[in-house]
Amino acid sequence: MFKSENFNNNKLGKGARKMKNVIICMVVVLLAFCVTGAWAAQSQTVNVNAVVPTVSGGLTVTVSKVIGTTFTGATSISFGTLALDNVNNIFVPSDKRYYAVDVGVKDNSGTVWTLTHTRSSVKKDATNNLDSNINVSFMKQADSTHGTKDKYLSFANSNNVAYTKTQLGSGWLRIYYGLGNGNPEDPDASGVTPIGLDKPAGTYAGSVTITLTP
Amino acid sequence: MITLLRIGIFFCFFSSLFIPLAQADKLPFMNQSKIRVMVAPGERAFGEMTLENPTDKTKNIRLYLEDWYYLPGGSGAKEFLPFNSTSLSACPWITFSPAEAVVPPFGKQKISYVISAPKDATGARFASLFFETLVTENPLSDIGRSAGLDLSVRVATLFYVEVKGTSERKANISNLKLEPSKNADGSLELTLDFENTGNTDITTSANFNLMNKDGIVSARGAFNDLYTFPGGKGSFVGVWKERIAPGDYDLIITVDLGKALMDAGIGRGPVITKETSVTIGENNQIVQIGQLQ
Repeated sequence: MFKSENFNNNKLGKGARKMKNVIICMVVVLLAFCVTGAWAAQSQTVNVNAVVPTVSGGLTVTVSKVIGTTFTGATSISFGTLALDNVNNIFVPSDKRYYAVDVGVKDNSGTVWTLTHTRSSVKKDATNNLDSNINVSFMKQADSTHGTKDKYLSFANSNNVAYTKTQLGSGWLRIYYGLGNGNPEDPDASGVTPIGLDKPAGTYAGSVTITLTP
Repeated sequence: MITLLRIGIFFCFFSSLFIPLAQADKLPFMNQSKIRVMVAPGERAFGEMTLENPTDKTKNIRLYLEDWYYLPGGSGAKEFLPFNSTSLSACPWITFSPAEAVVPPFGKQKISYVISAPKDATGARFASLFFETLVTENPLSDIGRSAGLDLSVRVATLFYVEVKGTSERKANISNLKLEPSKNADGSLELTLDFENTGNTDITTSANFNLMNKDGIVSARGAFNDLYTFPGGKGSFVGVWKERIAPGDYDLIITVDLGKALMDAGIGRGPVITKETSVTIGENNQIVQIGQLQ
């Protein structure tokens, strides 16, 4: 029995020793991997580089028709044939539309660029115009839904309004155009009045130019 | 059913994220925004630039020249004026072709220019070549009262024409002030007056170094860049935000008048160096400033 137990113990001892040796080998190999890995991390230099190309003077313009708070892409800034509001005796767009023009500059060249808004009269003839019937709002947009109203002017006073790269930061310029509505809860810009019955019928056309200068 | 509805709502929301991108209208652009040319009196310089149309629509583009100048103050802000309306206009010296371009979708159009300097020309002249395109056109209606706007965009390429062998970059730098910042945050503010006394435009790149008696730099920084035409003035402002140990120092101011040349890759300098002595007391108090030399 003793012999047998001794024999078994001896047998187990050999197995355990083998197992112990295997475990020691594994630990040594593991340590070697860790150490060589650490050495590798300490001694190898991995160059990481990327080339950022220069983009200069890329101008992007988006025109949207806005009804309420819904923006839809537009190919013109047209208030259409105006409808008479019989209560207030003023002419307004039939669907209460206004327009948003988003102006962005893609440029990483370091150029100190400037965007300038200029306009020519929205007129029917030499004496009749809508320059004091259109609100122009200049917004500094941080993203498509967050912007700060920077200037709120009549179309007449919106000539030569300029924004530099520094002023717009990483955002962009959004300009709203809307006809005066006389609503005290949504006041018109200073000097803007709604289009009244005194304004002769006809087609009133004007233009806006956005200038990008380096 | 509810799951389908959720998927539908998610799809609509996800699709709406791409709508602004799809509607953004890229516009044609010129491959150069600034052109600096050296041309000898009585000689001509030739060049070419490329107008690119990155859109899938044909673009009609009108090209024309105007004058421009840097507004007072030296910030780089500019004003644009009609063709040949200033004494430094290069418009009469420049011809280009074509004056109108029809650029096909994703196409390019070469614009050639010639600059002819008169025999008695000196100094520098300036012009801006605009290329203008109509973005939206108001469809006119003849019924009742209707209103609309045409929307155009125009982009400028600036010309700086220097008459070889005659242009001079000179400047007066004066009226050094070194005092605590108006922000009252313990920082020091350095200011200097700058005047372009040469006959060409100057873009500066300037810096300051405050060195102790052992020649070790105790404070250093950059001034703002200034942009001036001949006779133009501006102010340098530099700020040092940290505490400086009390003692005697040498203040060295370096102003590179040739930044525009270097940016254009056609030259460098000249550089103006000014020095003075400064004594600083406790808490960055300025005890004494010497004469700027």
